[in-house]
Amino acid sequence: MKNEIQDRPLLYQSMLEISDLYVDFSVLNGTIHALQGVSLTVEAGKTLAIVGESGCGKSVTAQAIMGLIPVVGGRITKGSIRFGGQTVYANDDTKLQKKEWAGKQIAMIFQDPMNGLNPTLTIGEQIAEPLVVHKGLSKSEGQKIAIELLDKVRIADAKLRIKQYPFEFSGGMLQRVMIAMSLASEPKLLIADEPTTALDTTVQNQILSLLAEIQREQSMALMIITHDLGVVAKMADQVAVMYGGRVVERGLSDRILASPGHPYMQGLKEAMPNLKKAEPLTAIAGTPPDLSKLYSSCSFAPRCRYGMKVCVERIPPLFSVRDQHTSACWLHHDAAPANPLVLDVPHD
Amino acid sequence: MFKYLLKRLASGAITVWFIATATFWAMHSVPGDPLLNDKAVDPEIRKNLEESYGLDKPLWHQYGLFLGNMLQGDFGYSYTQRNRKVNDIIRDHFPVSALLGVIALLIAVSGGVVFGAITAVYKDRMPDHIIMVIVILTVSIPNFVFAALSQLGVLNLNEWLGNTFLPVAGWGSWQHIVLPAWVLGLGTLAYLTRLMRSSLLEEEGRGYTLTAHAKGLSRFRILYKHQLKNAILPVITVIGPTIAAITTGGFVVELVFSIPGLGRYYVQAVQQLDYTVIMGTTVFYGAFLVIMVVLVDIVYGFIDPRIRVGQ
Repeated sequence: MKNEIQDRPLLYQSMLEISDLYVDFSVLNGTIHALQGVSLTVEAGKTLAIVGESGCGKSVTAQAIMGLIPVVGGRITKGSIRFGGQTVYANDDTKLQKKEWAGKQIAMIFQDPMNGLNPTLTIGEQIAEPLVVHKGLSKSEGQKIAIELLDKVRIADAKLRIKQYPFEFSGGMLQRVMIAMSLASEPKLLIADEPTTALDTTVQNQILSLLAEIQREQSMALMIITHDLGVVAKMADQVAVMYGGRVVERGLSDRILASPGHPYMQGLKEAMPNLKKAEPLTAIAGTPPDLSKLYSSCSFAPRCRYGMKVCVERIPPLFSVRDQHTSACWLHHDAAPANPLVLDVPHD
Repeated sequence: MFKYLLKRLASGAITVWFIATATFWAMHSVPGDPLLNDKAVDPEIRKNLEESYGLDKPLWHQYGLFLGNMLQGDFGYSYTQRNRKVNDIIRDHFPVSALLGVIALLIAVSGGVVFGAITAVYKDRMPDHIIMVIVILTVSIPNFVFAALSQLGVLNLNEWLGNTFLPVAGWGSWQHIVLPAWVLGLGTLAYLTRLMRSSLLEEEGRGYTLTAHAKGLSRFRILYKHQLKNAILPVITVIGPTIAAITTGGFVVELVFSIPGLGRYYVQAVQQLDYTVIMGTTVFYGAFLVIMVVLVDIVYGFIDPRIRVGQ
């Protein structure tokens, strides 16, 4: 296994490094193992897209970085998160993240801007809050910066708008406000958790362009969580594909989109509608993995069109597919057959 | 805003009229005789009395007279208290009840908010369990029982200390207010604690709470700056009816603590069928509550910008 590069940073100069992270949620009839050994890195100044279907652990990963896991009722059981020379381990509480990272060096915007802002506080108060709380600015200084930030995210009449409440804004406008709010503390990393999912298509594009532009200007890193491969193609330098609480593929975005190494990612790519040819949409057969169990083999194996004995016996580590492209699939092992058996139907 | 207020006050006036009418007919259908005293009354005196109070006229006529006088703000003379107008009774004794009620309400609201917040923050942990057990006990015990128990407790305390720590009855100084206001506010305090707890827990799952955590704010700041304002809305809503609960509950507490408030006169008036005092106090309390409910609606708008009236 000389091409195995498990748990080693993909590239140098990584500013954020997650290794072998496990997160559990207790539910009524047992435990959900939402993350089952996530490892990924974010490079300074670059855009990383995290892709995957609902429930694959994209958002939980982001929440873990922000120290929000206890807030949403889960716990980190194993692994570590390193950022800016400091490391949070599984058994530590999240005080460090709250004190040093969240809202200061790392900011986050959420999927649904309509519910993400407090309905009873003015926009200006909410944008300036990180500055007032973390940097000790006065209320009027905060408002001044809030106006500048609203200008930056291109909301007209900023002077007037900061005195308004969230219900006086549209969804797209509120997402701009959220972005302005996240920029207040000049973060080194911005995490955007499906920032355009709740918005309509034309607004989506505006928000994405705005994010890309701000990312360039501030030279901050951007971690964008999405299930939309179009967003990946438009935004990302690097991609991490998640499935069943693990990262199954990562590397440079154009390489992965051009020729995915993991059968899951291949399936996702094939499921994209082709606008030039009229042909029925293909879907990945089977159902998403049951995360109430902790997998000891490849969790995609039951849905996979290639089947090998090792797939149902051991978890595949990340193998190098080519330079800056790794994939957690036994097909990329040195000893794997060149032409694996193709199965018609998913097997259980 | 002005138009809205006018509308609310007009509908309030109809409510008050309805209260007055219902009370008038209910009161007159109660068997008994307001002029029936312990000693027998000479038929001639009785006739004169009936004439002077208008009791010899048919009920419909009496009703008309009452409405006419009410519109002029005059409820007439008390039947049982010599030479005392109902208006004077209200003016002399309502301030006492109002002071007691306001202090009880302050205790209830501030206590309810604070204990509600504590139980929400410590959900399913010891402080939550302890407070909720006390709350359920408090809600299920009527306040006259509490009145007697707290009197007994303070009496024992006074005896043990060897001097009067707190008076257990009477009126006149701030020390006299403490015990009755506490007893009067306690039930509401418990009720508001429960309300505040569930309301805050609901805010816990809202998106803005997660945003606030992601901004790196402390738990305390999230609570008082973000969640409280949203969570307090249901509490404000019930404050209108709560004022009713506290002022009517005050009748009993005033009797137990022998406080010269309006409640005591009200209860006496009902026992003695003092028609004018019953009508006067009922209409007065009705109007008071209607105004309180309108005020609560206006306060609501100050807290939640989405429902600011008339915009």
